[in-house]
Amino acid sequence: MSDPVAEHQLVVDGSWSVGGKPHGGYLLRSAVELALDGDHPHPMAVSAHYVSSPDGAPAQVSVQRVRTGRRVATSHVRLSQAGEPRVDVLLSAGRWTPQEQPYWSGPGGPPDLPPIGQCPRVPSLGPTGRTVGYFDHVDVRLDPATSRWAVGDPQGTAEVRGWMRRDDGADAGPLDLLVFCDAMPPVTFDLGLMGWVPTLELTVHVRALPAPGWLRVVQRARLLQDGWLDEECEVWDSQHRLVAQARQLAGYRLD
Amino acid sequence: MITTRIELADTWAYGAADVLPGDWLMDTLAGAALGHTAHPHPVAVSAHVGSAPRTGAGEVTVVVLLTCRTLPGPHREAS
Repeated sequence: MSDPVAEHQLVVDGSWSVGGKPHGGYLLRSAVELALDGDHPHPMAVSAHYVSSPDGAPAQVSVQRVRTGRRVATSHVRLSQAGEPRVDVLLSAGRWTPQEQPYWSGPGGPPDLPPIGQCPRVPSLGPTGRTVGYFDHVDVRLDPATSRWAVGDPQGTAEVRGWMRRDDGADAGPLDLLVFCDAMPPVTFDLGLMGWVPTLELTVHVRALPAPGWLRVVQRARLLQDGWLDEECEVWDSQHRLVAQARQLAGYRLD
Repeated sequence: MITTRIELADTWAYGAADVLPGDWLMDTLAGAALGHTAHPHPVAVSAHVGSAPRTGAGEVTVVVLLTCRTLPGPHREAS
Protein backbone atom coordinates (compact mmCIF):
# COMPACT_ATOMS: atom_id res chain seq x y z
CA MET A 1 0.00 0.00 0.00
CA SER A 2 1.36 3.43 -0.96
CA ASP A 3 1.62 6.25 1.55
CA PRO A 4 -0.54 9.36 1.17
CA VAL A 5 0.68 12.04 -1.21
CA ALA A 6 2.69 14.85 0.44
CA GLU A 7 2.35 18.23 -1.25
CA HIS A 8 5.17 20.81 -1.24
CA GLN A 9 5.50 24.32 -2.61
CA LEU A 10 8.62 25.36 -4.47
CA VAL A 11 9.79 28.53 -6.19
CA VAL A 12 11.72 27.65 -9.34
CA ASP A 13 14.78 29.89 -9.48
CA GLY A 14 14.85 31.54 -12.89
CA SER A 15 18.59 32.18 -12.66
CA TRP A 16 19.11 28.50 -13.56
CA SER A 17 17.31 28.93 -16.86
CA VAL A 18 18.38 28.17 -20.41
CA GLY A 19 16.81 30.74 -22.69
CA GLY A 20 14.15 31.37 -20.04
CA LYS A 21 13.44 27.70 -19.31
CA PRO A 22 14.75 26.21 -16.04
CA HIS A 23 17.53 23.65 -16.28
CA GLY A 24 16.32 20.05 -16.12
CA GLY A 25 18.98 18.87 -13.69
CA TYR A 26 18.19 21.72 -11.32
CA LEU A 27 14.49 20.84 -11.42
CA LEU A 28 15.35 17.21 -10.76
CA ARG A 29 17.49 18.02 -7.74
CA SER A 30 14.84 20.37 -6.34
CA ALA A 31 12.11 17.75 -6.64
CA VAL A 32 14.13 14.75 -5.46
CA GLU A 33 15.40 16.54 -2.36
CA LEU A 34 11.82 16.70 -1.08
CA ALA A 35 11.45 12.90 -1.28
CA LEU A 36 14.49 11.93 0.80
CA ASP A 37 14.37 11.10 4.51
CA GLY A 38 16.78 10.35 7.34
CA ASP A 39 16.84 6.61 6.67
CA HIS A 40 17.16 7.05 2.90
CA PRO A 41 19.12 10.31 2.53
CA HIS A 42 20.78 9.70 -0.85
CA PRO A 43 19.42 9.27 -4.37
CA MET A 44 20.41 5.94 -5.91
CA ALA A 45 18.40 5.65 -9.13
CA VAL A 46 16.44 8.59 -10.51
CA SER A 47 14.31 8.47 -13.66
CA ALA A 48 12.73 11.68 -14.89
CA HIS A 49 10.37 12.29 -17.77
CA TYR A 50 10.12 15.95 -18.77
CA VAL A 51 6.47 16.26 -19.66
CA SER A 52 6.13 19.94 -20.49
CA SER A 53 8.25 23.05 -20.56
CA PRO A 54 8.69 24.63 -17.11
CA ASP A 55 8.91 28.30 -16.16
CA GLY A 56 10.80 30.21 -13.49
CA ALA A 57 7.71 30.45 -11.31
CA PRO A 58 6.09 28.81 -8.29
CA ALA A 59 5.70 25.06 -8.54
CA GLN A 60 4.00 22.29 -6.65
CA VAL A 61 5.81 19.06 -5.87
CA SER A 62 3.85 15.96 -4.92
CA VAL A 63 5.69 13.08 -3.29
CA GLN A 64 4.17 9.65 -2.89
CA ARG A 65 6.18 6.98 -1.16
CA VAL A 66 5.49 3.79 -3.07
CA ARG A 67 7.42 1.49 -0.76
CA THR A 68 9.79 1.85 2.16
CA GLY A 69 12.26 -1.00 2.48
CA ARG A 70 15.20 -1.47 4.78
CA ARG A 71 17.78 -0.47 2.17
CA VAL A 72 15.73 1.27 -0.50
CA ALA A 73 12.74 3.60 -0.50
CA THR A 74 10.88 4.12 -3.78
CA SER A 75 8.91 7.30 -4.41
CA HIS A 76 6.91 8.88 -7.19
CA VAL A 77 7.58 12.61 -7.43
CA ARG A 78 5.79 15.06 -9.69
CA LEU A 79 6.64 18.72 -10.21
CA SER A 80 3.73 20.76 -11.58
CA GLN A 81 3.07 24.40 -12.33
CA ALA A 82 -0.45 25.84 -12.41
CA GLY A 83 -1.83 22.32 -12.46
CA GLU A 84 0.27 21.23 -15.46
CA PRO A 85 2.75 18.38 -14.88
CA ARG A 86 6.29 19.45 -15.77
CA VAL A 87 8.52 16.64 -14.54
CA ASP A 88 7.52 13.14 -13.46
CA VAL A 89 10.15 11.29 -11.44
CA LEU A 90 10.65 7.80 -10.07
CA LEU A 91 13.18 7.77 -7.25
CA SER A 92 14.91 4.91 -5.49
CA ALA A 93 16.76 6.29 -2.47
CA GLY A 94 19.06 4.72 0.09
CA ARG A 95 22.31 5.40 1.91
CA TRP A 96 25.80 5.36 0.41
CA THR A 97 28.85 4.53 2.50
CA PRO A 98 31.47 7.32 2.48
CA GLN A 99 34.74 6.44 0.74
CA GLU A 100 33.50 2.99 -0.28
CA GLN A 101 35.92 1.32 -2.70
CA PRO A 102 34.94 -0.83 -5.71
CA TYR A 103 34.72 -4.58 -5.30
CA TRP A 104 35.24 -4.74 -9.08
CA SER A 105 35.19 -2.23 -11.89
CA GLY A 106 35.37 -2.61 -15.64
CA PRO A 107 38.15 -1.43 -17.93
CA GLY A 108 38.63 2.27 -18.48
CA GLY A 109 38.67 5.03 -15.98
CA PRO A 110 38.13 8.75 -15.68
CA PRO A 111 38.66 10.83 -18.79
CA ASP A 112 42.13 12.19 -19.41
CA LEU A 113 41.95 15.95 -19.07
CA PRO A 114 44.44 18.80 -19.33
CA PRO A 115 45.12 20.68 -16.08
CA ILE A 116 42.21 22.83 -14.98
CA GLY A 117 44.16 25.97 -15.75
CA GLN A 118 44.28 24.98 -19.42
CA CYS A 119 40.51 24.41 -19.63
CA PRO A 120 38.45 27.60 -20.09
CA ARG A 121 35.29 28.08 -18.06
CA VAL A 122 32.03 27.87 -20.00
CA PRO A 123 30.39 31.31 -19.90
CA SER A 124 26.69 31.74 -19.27
CA LEU A 125 26.35 33.56 -22.58
CA GLY A 126 27.13 30.87 -25.12
CA PRO A 127 27.98 30.80 -28.84
CA THR A 128 24.32 30.53 -29.76
CA GLY A 129 23.63 33.90 -28.13
CA ARG A 130 21.33 32.18 -25.66
CA THR A 131 21.81 32.80 -21.93
CA VAL A 132 22.55 29.56 -20.12
CA GLY A 133 22.06 30.60 -16.52
CA TYR A 134 23.12 27.37 -14.87
CA PHE A 135 26.71 28.04 -15.90
CA ASP A 136 26.63 30.78 -13.25
CA HIS A 137 25.85 28.03 -10.70
CA VAL A 138 27.97 25.19 -12.08
CA ASP A 139 31.62 25.84 -12.86
CA VAL A 140 32.35 23.86 -16.03
CA ARG A 141 35.87 23.86 -17.50
CA LEU A 142 35.91 22.15 -20.90
CA ASP A 143 38.83 20.29 -22.41
CA PRO A 144 39.72 22.54 -25.37
CA ALA A 145 40.09 19.44 -27.57
CA THR A 146 36.36 18.75 -27.18
CA SER A 147 35.11 22.31 -27.43
CA ARG A 148 36.43 23.36 -30.82
CA TRP A 149 32.80 24.02 -31.78
CA ALA A 150 32.98 27.13 -29.60
CA VAL A 151 35.36 28.66 -32.16
CA GLY A 152 33.40 27.41 -35.16
CA ASP A 153 35.41 24.21 -35.66
CA PRO A 154 33.30 21.20 -34.58
CA GLN A 155 35.22 17.93 -34.70
CA GLY A 156 32.34 15.53 -35.33
CA THR A 157 33.05 13.23 -32.39
CA ALA A 158 29.97 14.07 -30.32
CA GLU A 159 31.92 13.94 -27.07
CA VAL A 160 32.63 16.63 -24.48
CA ARG A 161 34.92 16.30 -21.48
CA GLY A 162 35.79 18.61 -18.68
CA TRP A 163 36.13 19.52 -15.04
CA MET A 164 33.13 20.45 -12.95
CA ARG A 165 32.28 21.76 -9.50
CA ARG A 166 29.76 24.02 -7.78
CA ASP A 167 30.26 27.70 -8.49
CA ASP A 168 30.27 28.49 -4.77
CA GLY A 169 33.30 26.23 -4.33
CA ALA A 170 31.50 23.86 -1.96
CA ASP A 171 32.22 20.18 -2.42
CA ALA A 172 29.56 18.34 -4.38
CA GLY A 173 27.03 16.16 -2.62
CA PRO A 174 24.95 13.38 -4.14
CA LEU A 175 22.12 15.75 -5.08
CA ASP A 176 24.56 17.93 -7.00
CA LEU A 177 25.33 14.91 -9.18
CA LEU A 178 21.78 15.09 -10.55
CA VAL A 179 22.61 18.58 -11.79
CA PHE A 180 26.09 17.71 -13.06
CA CYS A 181 24.79 14.79 -15.13
CA ASP A 182 22.79 17.32 -17.16
CA ALA A 183 25.24 20.22 -17.11
CA MET A 184 27.55 19.58 -20.07
CA PRO A 185 26.89 21.53 -23.27
CA PRO A 186 25.01 19.35 -25.77
CA VAL A 187 27.27 16.97 -27.65
CA THR A 188 25.40 17.98 -30.80
CA PHE A 189 27.47 21.20 -30.79
CA ASP A 190 30.45 19.08 -31.80
CA LEU A 191 28.42 17.93 -34.81
CA GLY A 192 27.74 21.50 -35.87
CA LEU A 193 24.14 21.42 -34.61
CA MET A 194 23.85 24.50 -32.41
CA GLY A 195 20.13 24.31 -31.68
CA TRP A 196 18.24 23.57 -28.50
CA VAL A 197 18.35 19.95 -27.26
CA PRO A 198 15.35 19.47 -24.98
CA THR A 199 15.49 16.43 -22.70
CA LEU A 200 12.64 13.98 -22.93
CA GLU A 201 13.89 11.49 -20.35
CA LEU A 202 16.89 11.44 -18.00
CA THR A 203 18.03 8.57 -15.79
CA VAL A 204 20.80 9.12 -13.25
CA HIS A 205 22.45 6.37 -11.22
CA VAL A 206 24.33 7.80 -8.26
CA ARG A 207 27.05 5.24 -7.48
CA ALA A 208 28.94 6.78 -4.57
CA LEU A 209 29.33 9.87 -2.43
CA PRO A 210 31.84 12.09 -4.24
CA ALA A 211 35.14 12.84 -2.56
CA PRO A 212 36.00 16.54 -2.10
CA GLY A 213 37.46 18.35 -5.07
CA TRP A 214 36.88 18.82 -8.76
CA LEU A 215 34.91 16.21 -10.67
CA ARG A 216 35.79 14.87 -14.12
CA VAL A 217 32.84 14.57 -16.48
CA VAL A 218 32.54 13.01 -19.91
CA GLN A 219 29.44 13.02 -22.06
CA ARG A 220 28.99 11.34 -25.42
CA ALA A 221 26.32 10.32 -27.88
CA ARG A 222 25.90 6.97 -29.56
CA LEU A 223 23.19 7.73 -32.08
CA LEU A 224 21.33 10.64 -33.61
CA GLN A 225 18.39 9.41 -35.60
CA ASP A 226 14.88 10.45 -36.48
CA GLY A 227 15.02 13.61 -34.39
CA TRP A 228 16.24 11.98 -31.19
CA LEU A 229 19.64 11.44 -29.65
CA ASP A 230 21.03 9.76 -26.57
CA GLU A 231 23.61 11.32 -24.31
CA GLU A 232 25.59 9.15 -21.90
CA CYS A 233 27.38 10.85 -19.03
CA GLU A 234 29.93 9.69 -16.46
CA VAL A 235 31.07 11.64 -13.41
CA TRP A 236 34.34 10.69 -11.65
CA ASP A 237 35.57 12.14 -8.39
CA SER A 238 39.03 13.32 -7.31
CA GLN A 239 39.80 9.79 -6.03
CA HIS A 240 39.19 8.37 -9.53
CA ARG A 241 35.92 6.76 -8.42
CA LEU A 242 32.90 6.59 -10.70
CA VAL A 243 30.25 8.47 -8.71
CA ALA A 244 27.42 8.90 -11.23
CA GLN A 245 26.26 7.53 -14.56
CA ALA A 246 23.44 8.98 -16.62
CA ARG A 247 21.69 8.55 -19.90
CA GLN A 248 19.16 10.83 -21.48
CA LEU A 249 17.02 10.88 -24.60
CA ALA A 250 16.69 14.31 -26.13
CA GLY A 251 15.38 15.93 -29.28
CA TYR A 252 17.36 17.73 -31.94
CA ARG A 253 16.59 19.59 -35.15
CA LEU A 254 18.67 19.74 -38.30
CA ASP A 255 17.45 23.21 -39.29
CA MET B 1 -6.58 8.00 -14.43
CA ILE B 2 -7.69 4.61 -15.72
CA THR B 3 -7.37 1.49 -13.57
CA THR B 4 -7.72 -1.94 -15.15
CA ARG B 5 -7.72 -5.35 -13.50
CA ILE B 6 -5.42 -7.89 -15.13
CA GLU B 7 -4.39 -11.48 -14.50
CA LEU B 8 -0.63 -11.96 -14.29
CA ALA B 9 -0.14 -15.35 -15.89
CA ASP B 10 2.11 -17.97 -14.33
CA THR B 11 3.57 -19.06 -17.67
CA TRP B 12 6.18 -16.32 -17.28
CA ALA B 13 6.94 -16.95 -13.62
CA TYR B 14 10.13 -18.45 -12.28
CA GLY B 15 11.20 -19.87 -8.94
CA ALA B 16 9.15 -21.39 -6.17
CA ALA B 17 7.63 -18.04 -5.25
CA ASP B 18 6.09 -17.49 -8.70
CA VAL B 19 8.00 -14.27 -9.26
CA LEU B 20 7.43 -12.60 -12.62
CA PRO B 21 10.33 -11.23 -14.68
CA GLY B 22 10.60 -7.47 -14.76
CA ASP B 23 10.93 -7.21 -18.53
CA TRP B 24 7.67 -9.06 -19.07
CA LEU B 25 5.98 -6.76 -16.57
CA MET B 26 7.38 -3.67 -18.33
CA ASP B 27 6.05 -4.99 -21.63
CA THR B 28 2.63 -5.47 -20.03
CA LEU B 29 2.59 -2.02 -18.41
CA ALA B 30 3.90 -0.15 -21.46
CA GLY B 31 1.35 -1.95 -23.64
CA ALA B 32 -1.41 -0.87 -21.30
CA ALA B 33 -0.24 2.74 -21.47
CA LEU B 34 0.01 2.75 -25.26
CA GLY B 35 -3.56 1.51 -25.41
CA HIS B 36 -4.67 4.85 -23.99
CA THR B 37 -2.73 7.12 -26.37
CA ALA B 38 -2.56 7.72 -30.10
CA HIS B 39 1.20 7.02 -30.04
CA PRO B 40 2.04 3.49 -31.17
CA HIS B 41 5.64 3.11 -29.96
CA PRO B 42 7.42 3.39 -26.61
CA VAL B 43 10.26 5.95 -26.81
CA ALA B 44 11.58 6.10 -23.24
CA VAL B 45 10.45 3.74 -20.50
CA SER B 46 11.62 3.92 -16.88
CA ALA B 47 10.71 1.39 -14.22
CA HIS B 48 11.59 1.09 -10.56
CA VAL B 49 10.63 -2.26 -9.07
CA GLY B 50 9.17 -1.59 -5.64
CA SER B 51 8.73 -5.25 -4.69
CA ALA B 52 8.83 -8.62 -6.40
CA PRO B 53 5.83 -8.99 -8.73
CA ARG B 54 4.00 -12.30 -8.39
CA THR B 55 1.42 -14.15 -10.41
CA GLY B 56 -2.27 -13.64 -9.85
CA ALA B 57 -4.67 -10.74 -9.93
CA GLY B 58 -3.20 -7.27 -10.40
CA GLU B 59 -4.20 -3.73 -11.19
CA VAL B 60 -2.69 -1.43 -13.79
CA THR B 61 -3.21 2.31 -13.44
CA VAL B 62 -2.54 4.53 -16.44
CA VAL B 63 -2.26 8.30 -16.16
CA VAL B 64 -1.76 10.17 -19.43
CA LEU B 65 0.10 13.31 -18.39
CA LEU B 66 0.41 15.03 -21.75
CA THR B 67 -0.21 14.36 -25.41
CA CYS B 68 1.63 16.66 -27.78
CA ARG B 69 3.62 16.94 -30.99
CA THR B 70 6.05 19.67 -30.12
CA LEU B 71 9.18 17.59 -30.70
CA PRO B 72 10.30 16.07 -34.00
CA GLY B 73 9.91 12.45 -34.94
CA PRO B 74 6.98 10.22 -35.78
CA HIS B 75 6.84 8.69 -32.30
CA ARG B 76 5.16 11.76 -30.88
CA GLU B 77 2.72 12.61 -33.62
CA ALA B 78 -0.72 13.28 -32.29
CA SER B 79 -3.77 11.98 -34.05
